[in-house]
Amino acid sequence: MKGGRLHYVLKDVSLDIPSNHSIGVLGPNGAGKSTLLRMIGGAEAPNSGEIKTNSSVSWPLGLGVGFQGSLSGRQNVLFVCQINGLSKAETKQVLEGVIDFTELGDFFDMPVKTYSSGMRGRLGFGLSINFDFDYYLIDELTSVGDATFRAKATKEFERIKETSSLIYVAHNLQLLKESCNSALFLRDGEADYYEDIMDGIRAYQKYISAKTGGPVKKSAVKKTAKKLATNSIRKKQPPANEN
Amino acid sequence: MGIRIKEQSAWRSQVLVTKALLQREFITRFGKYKLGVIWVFVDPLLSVLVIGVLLGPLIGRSTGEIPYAFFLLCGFMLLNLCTGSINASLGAINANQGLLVFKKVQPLDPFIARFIFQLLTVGSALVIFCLTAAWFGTFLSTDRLPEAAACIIITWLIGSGIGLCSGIAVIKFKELEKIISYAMRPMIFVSAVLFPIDSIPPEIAKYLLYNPLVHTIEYLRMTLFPIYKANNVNLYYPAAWALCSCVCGLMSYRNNRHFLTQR
Repeated sequence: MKGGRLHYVLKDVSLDIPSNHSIGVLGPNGAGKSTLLRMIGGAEAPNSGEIKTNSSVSWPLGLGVGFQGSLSGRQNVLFVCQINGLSKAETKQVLEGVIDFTELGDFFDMPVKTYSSGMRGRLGFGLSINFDFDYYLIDELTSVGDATFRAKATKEFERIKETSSLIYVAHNLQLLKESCNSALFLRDGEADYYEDIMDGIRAYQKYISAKTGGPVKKSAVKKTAKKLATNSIRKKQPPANEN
Repeated sequence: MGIRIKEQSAWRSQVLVTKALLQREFITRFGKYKLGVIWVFVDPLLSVLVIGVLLGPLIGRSTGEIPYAFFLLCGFMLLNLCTGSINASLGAINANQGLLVFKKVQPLDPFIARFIFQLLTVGSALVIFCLTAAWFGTFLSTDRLPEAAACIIITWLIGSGIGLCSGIAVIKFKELEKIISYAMRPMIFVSAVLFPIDSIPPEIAKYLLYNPLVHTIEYLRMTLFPIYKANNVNLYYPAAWALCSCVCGLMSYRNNRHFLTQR
């Protein structure tokens, strides 16, 4: 912890997110978007309070998240199938789906730490689309891979949006406008839900212009660094120190 | 079209995740080297050989009834069970960072997997050594096998509990990693691995007896070789240690649960 000061990412937030809505999560850097996504997906536990849902939710999907570098792509896929209790037939189906989609060839049996970031992204995306979730949590799964892959990915994305909902963290407002119908706006430890994505985007833009235009206000929230900024950077780098 | 993930009971999830992580441990430890599996046996044997040759003539006489090689083997393997668990725990979270993103994988699971891995490898090596020795004619008693198993389990629990505490402490204070692994090294001298506790003068022995491993190691020797006797040694003291260390470990996990994923 940096300097031992407490930093509340999201303080006393209570939200009811309706089902069958694709939600774009907006906010300035460090507002807690990725943290919220991680908490919804079960990667982090809140310090207090709880997260309840009846739907099936994916793990937070992002660039190269959820892989153990020293295991091969195949072993990583098998790991995910194993912890979710898939039968042999289901595992086979997932494996074939991933191999087919990612087109990694021989790399599929090589350690993930040898992959480029594009390959990791493909593997992560390919793995998640072979499962059927009610909610897909997507953390800036920005364009990775070449044009053919991106065409494939967009097609799959469209297919997913037909049957499932997304909770999408991104800075690209255009992308959010196209993919989502509602918005969640996070800033300074607070969160607001907007039924209409356009309202959310407007609120965000107002906030930004207020911040850059007006005087800098001192935050009333106590601060303990939770390394949020480094969190989003770390996601894009292959993790070190693995054995 | 995609696979729908079915709800599992909490226990079944725990079993599945532990099995998957155990498999991951086996793949990473033993996959790289063809000799990987053999190393589990070769390592203690080599230690026994080297120490046996160096110290055997000196100390061998005072162990009396049991062959010094076996004396050493018991000591080395039980010590390894404990210190190996502690050393393995230091890297448990870091090495499995990527996998913690799944809801099913809780930060406690890599620890559990590593501890079970340690028990399986060292435990089976010990059993195989005993069987080999018995086959070669060394007289090994099988009357007190449950007590022998108790020695092994208690040692393992002590190592696991302390390991859990250290593994979590290391996340907060990275410098502890070096300190703890160095602190494990002199354990070989104070755990009655090389010499029987009875051969030590009482003024020093009474301090060594505070080490729970002295009790489990000497007790194991007594259960396997009935003629071997060690005084002032019992299983209640290390059992209490096992209980306390596990409780401390789990408490420190509970208190730091959030910190472990907020990296």
